[in-house]
Amino acid sequence: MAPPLSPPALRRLLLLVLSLLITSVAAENVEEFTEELLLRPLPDRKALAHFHFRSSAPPSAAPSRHHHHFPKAIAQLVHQFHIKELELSFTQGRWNYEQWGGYDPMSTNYAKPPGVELWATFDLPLGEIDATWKNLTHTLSGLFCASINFLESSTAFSSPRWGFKLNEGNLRYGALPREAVCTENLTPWLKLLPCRDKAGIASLLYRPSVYKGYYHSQKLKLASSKSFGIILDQTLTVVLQPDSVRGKQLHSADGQLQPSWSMKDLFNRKLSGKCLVSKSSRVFFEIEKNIVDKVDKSGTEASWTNEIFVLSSAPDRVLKEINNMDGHSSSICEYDVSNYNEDAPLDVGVTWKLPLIWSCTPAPYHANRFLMGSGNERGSISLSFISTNMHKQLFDVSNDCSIKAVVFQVVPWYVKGFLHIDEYPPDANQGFDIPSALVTFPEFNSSRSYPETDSLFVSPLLRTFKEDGVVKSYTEVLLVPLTTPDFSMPYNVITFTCTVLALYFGSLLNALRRRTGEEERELKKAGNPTMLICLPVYDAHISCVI
Amino acid sequence: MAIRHYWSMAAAAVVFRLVLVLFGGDLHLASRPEVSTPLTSIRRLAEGYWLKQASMSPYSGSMYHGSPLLLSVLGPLTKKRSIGHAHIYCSLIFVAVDFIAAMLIRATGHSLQMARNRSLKSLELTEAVVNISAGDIASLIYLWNPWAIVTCVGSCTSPIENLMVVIMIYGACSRLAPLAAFGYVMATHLSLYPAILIVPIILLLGFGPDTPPTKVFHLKFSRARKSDILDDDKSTISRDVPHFSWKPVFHFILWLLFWSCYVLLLSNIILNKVGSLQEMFIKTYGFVLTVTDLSPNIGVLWYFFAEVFDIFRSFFLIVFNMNILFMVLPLAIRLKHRPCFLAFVYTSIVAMLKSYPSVGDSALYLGLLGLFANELAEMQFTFFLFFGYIGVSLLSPVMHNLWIWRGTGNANFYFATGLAYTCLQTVLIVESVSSMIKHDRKLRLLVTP
Repeated sequence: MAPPLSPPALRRLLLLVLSLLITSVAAENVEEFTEELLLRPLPDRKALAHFHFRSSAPPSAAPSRHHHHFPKAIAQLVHQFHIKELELSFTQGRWNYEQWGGYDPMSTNYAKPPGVELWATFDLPLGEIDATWKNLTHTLSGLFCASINFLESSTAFSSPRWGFKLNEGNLRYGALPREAVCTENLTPWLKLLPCRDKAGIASLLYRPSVYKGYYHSQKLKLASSKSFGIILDQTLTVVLQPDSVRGKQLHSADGQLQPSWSMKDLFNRKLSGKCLVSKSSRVFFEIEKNIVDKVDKSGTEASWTNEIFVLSSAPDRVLKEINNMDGHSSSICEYDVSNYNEDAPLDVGVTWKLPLIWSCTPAPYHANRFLMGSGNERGSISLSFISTNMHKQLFDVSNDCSIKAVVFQVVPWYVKGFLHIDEYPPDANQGFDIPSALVTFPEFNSSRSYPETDSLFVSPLLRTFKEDGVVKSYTEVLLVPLTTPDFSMPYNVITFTCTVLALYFGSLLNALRRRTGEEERELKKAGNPTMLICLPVYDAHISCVI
Repeated sequence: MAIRHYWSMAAAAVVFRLVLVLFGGDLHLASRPEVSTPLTSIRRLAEGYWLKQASMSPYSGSMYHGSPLLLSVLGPLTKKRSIGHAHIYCSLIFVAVDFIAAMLIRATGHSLQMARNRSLKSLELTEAVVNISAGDIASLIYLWNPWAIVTCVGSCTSPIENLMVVIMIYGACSRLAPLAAFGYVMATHLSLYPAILIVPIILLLGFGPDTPPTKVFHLKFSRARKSDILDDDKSTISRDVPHFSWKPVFHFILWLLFWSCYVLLLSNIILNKVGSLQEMFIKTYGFVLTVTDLSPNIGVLWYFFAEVFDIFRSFFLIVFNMNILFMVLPLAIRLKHRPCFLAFVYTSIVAMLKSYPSVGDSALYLGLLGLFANELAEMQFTFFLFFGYIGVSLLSPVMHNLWIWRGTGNANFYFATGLAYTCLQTVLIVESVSSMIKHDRKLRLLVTP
C-alpha cells in the first residue's frame, strides 16, 4: 500500500493547483495587449516592416463593462452590430507580387487592394443584415475619418456566397478603390492602441517615412465570439526604400550590394522601450527561405552572422521554420524589447558583406487585369494568368496538371449603361473605378509554423503565420470611362424639347383650324391689294395643273 | 397610269436586299442606335429566347421587351449563327416580309385609286386632277427607301411591326374585317402605339376609302337640284354620297375580340411556367410608357428623361403620352372623309413622338406617303424635306461616333441631330395635312363655278 502524501507535499501541491487555477482564471478575465514588429529585406533593395498589435478582451455579458486598455469604441461597435468577424483595410500602393512574393503568409494576409476594403460577417437574421451594414459603414466612416459611407448603397457592396469566403449569406463585402489614405486615417487607428504612438513599437511610426514608402496598408481585423471574447488585430505593413549611403559601394565581381539598413535608417529613430501595458513586445527579423538556401550553398551555416550578411546585434532567440515539404526553411531572429530602454535603445538592422540576389516565392500564377478594345461600344475586361512554374518546384510534376483558381470580381451594372444624371458617381467624367479582383488558389496553402518555445505564451504574429491560409492575390484596379451626358444641360434640354413639341402642336392645330376661304373673304373686305394679287396667282396655278 | 418597268424595279429591290444580307458581311447595323432600339433589337430577342430556354422568365434582367409570340417564332432562328451576318435567317425572313408589305401597299393603292376614280366621276372632275398610279409609287418608295433596306438588313423586328400596320390598313380598305382585326391586334400587341389607329380603321370600314369631303358632294347635288334636271343618273349619283355603314364595324369588333383573346391565350401558353401575363404587360407596355431605358436613339425623349429633374419626371411622362392622344380627335374631326390619310398622319405622329423611335418607323410612313401622291402633288418644302432627311441620316452616325467612340464630341451633338429630325418630321406632317386640306378646298372650288 503506497504511503499517503506527506502534509508539506500535499500543501505544496494544493498551492500549485490553486495558483495555476488563479492564474488561468486571471488570464481569462484579463485584457491583453501584445505588440510586435517584423522586418524583412526584399529582393529589389527595399525593406518590409510589419507592425502587429493585438488587443483582446475577455467575453462578458454586459456590453458596457469597463475596459482597461481595449478600445471602448470597438467593443461598442461589436456589441451594437453583432459582428462576428470584420476586416477593414486602408491601402496606398500596390503589392508587387512579382518581386515581393505571393506565396508566403505575409502576402496572403497583408497584401491588400488599393483603397479601402471592408468585409464583415454578422450574427443576425439575414433580413436585417443590409440595414446593419449601412449603419456599420457610417459608424466606421466617422471613426476613421474616411468616406466608407459610400459603401452603403446597394451598388457598392455585394454578398458573395463562395467566391470570397464560404458563408451562409451573412457576409457583406465592399471596396472603394479611389479612397486616398493619409495621416488622418492613421491617427484614429493609432488612437485605438493603449500607448498610442507615444511608447512602444508604435513610437517608431515616423509619418514622413511611412508615407514616402512604396506600399503601406493599415488593417483592422476583429473576431468576436462568446467563448474567447473579442480579439482586435491591428497591423500596419510598410514597404520602404532605405536611403543609406552604406549600400552604394560597388563590389567588383558580382554586382551591387544590397543596401544595409537599420531601424534608424527606416524610421529615423530607435526603439527605446516597450509599451508598459503590453504583455510582450518583440521585434522579429525574418531571413527568407531563399536567402537561407543561398547562404547554405555558400558554405557557412545561416545564423545571425555569416559571410554574406550580419545583423546589428545578437538576437535573443532564433526560430527555424518547421517544414516537411523540402529541406529549406526560413528563420526568424527574435529580439525582446523589454531588455532595452532609453539609455540602451534597440536598433535592429542588417549589414551586407557580399552581394546576394534572391527571389521570393511567387504564387502559382501572376494575375493581371486590364481593359481591352476601343471606345465605349466594344471594350472588355481581361484577366491574364502567367504561370510561374512554381507548381513544378513544389509538386515535382512535369506534365501539365490542372490548377483550380477562384476569381472574385465585382463589376457594377451601370458601367456600360446610360443613366439619369443623378445616378452617376461624383466626377463621372474621369471614369469609374472597378475594384480589384481577388484570385484564390484553393489547392495551395501558405502557412508556416515556427516552434513554440514558450508554452504559456505564443506570439500572435507567428500564430497568424501558422493559420491555414489559401494563396490569394489581388489584381489591379481598372479605370473605365463612362459615356456621360452633358451634366450642365438639364434646363436647356427641357427647353429645347418642349419648344420642338410646341412647334409641332401649334402648327398642326393651326393647319387644321385654318379656313383659307374665310381668310380671303376677310382680306377682300379689308381691301388689301396684295392679297387680291395672290388670288389670281392661285387660280393660274390651278389652270396650269389642269 | 401605271409605272413602266414596275416589276423589274421591285424585283431589283428584293435582289439588292438579298445581296446585302447574304454577301454584305457584318455591317454592324445591329449596334446602330438609329436602327435597333431596346424594343426591336434582335440581339435582345436572342437573349430573351436563351433565358426562356433556361426556364427563366424572358423579361428578367431588363433585356427583352417584346412580344412572346415573336420570341417563339424568331427565337429558334437566332440560335443558328453563321460567319458574317449574325442573324442571317431572320434577315431573310424580313426580306420576304418587306416584299409582302410592299405588295399590300400596292393593293391598298389600287383600291384607293378605284374609290377615288369613282368619286371623281360622280363629281364629274376626272380630267381636273392628276392621275398617276399611287399604289405603285408607294410600294416602290417602300422597297427602295434606304431606311427600309437598313432596317431589313440590320437585325431589328420593325419590318414585322410595319407589316402588321399595312395588313390592318389593307384589310380595312378592302372591307375585310377579319384581316383588319388581325392586323390591328398584332400591331398593338407588338408595339403599343398603333392602338390609336382604331379611329381611322373604323372610319375606313364604315365609310370606305378616301373620298372628297361630303360638303363637296352636297354642293354638287344641291346645284344639280337647283338646275332642275331630272335624270335617271341623278338617283345613281345621289347614292354615291358616302354614308356610314355599321355592319362592317360590328364584324370588325367581333373579330377584334376574337383575335385579342387568341393572342393573349397564346402568350399565356408560351409564358406558361416562366412568367405571367401581368409581368408581360408591365415589361412591354409599361416599359414603353415609362421610358425606363435611356440609351440614345434618333428621338429626343432619351436625353430629356436623362436630364429632367426627378420631381418632374412623372409629369412629363404624362405630358408626352397625352401629346400623342390629344391630336387624335382634332385630326379625326377634320379629316374623317379621308381615313386612309388619317391613318398615315397618325402613323407619322407616332413615329415622331414614341418613346423609342427608329428609322424603321419612318420607313413605314414614308411608304404610306406615296399613296397620296396625287393629292399631295402641290406640297411645299419637298426639296427641303428630302435633303433634310438625307442630311440627318448622314450626320447622325457621325455625331454618335464623335460622342461614343472618339470622345471629342459630347451628347449634345447627337441630341441636336435628333432635334433637327423631329423638326423635319413636324414640317412633313404639317405640310401634308395643309396640302390635303388645300386639295379638298380646290375640289370644292372646282365644283362651284
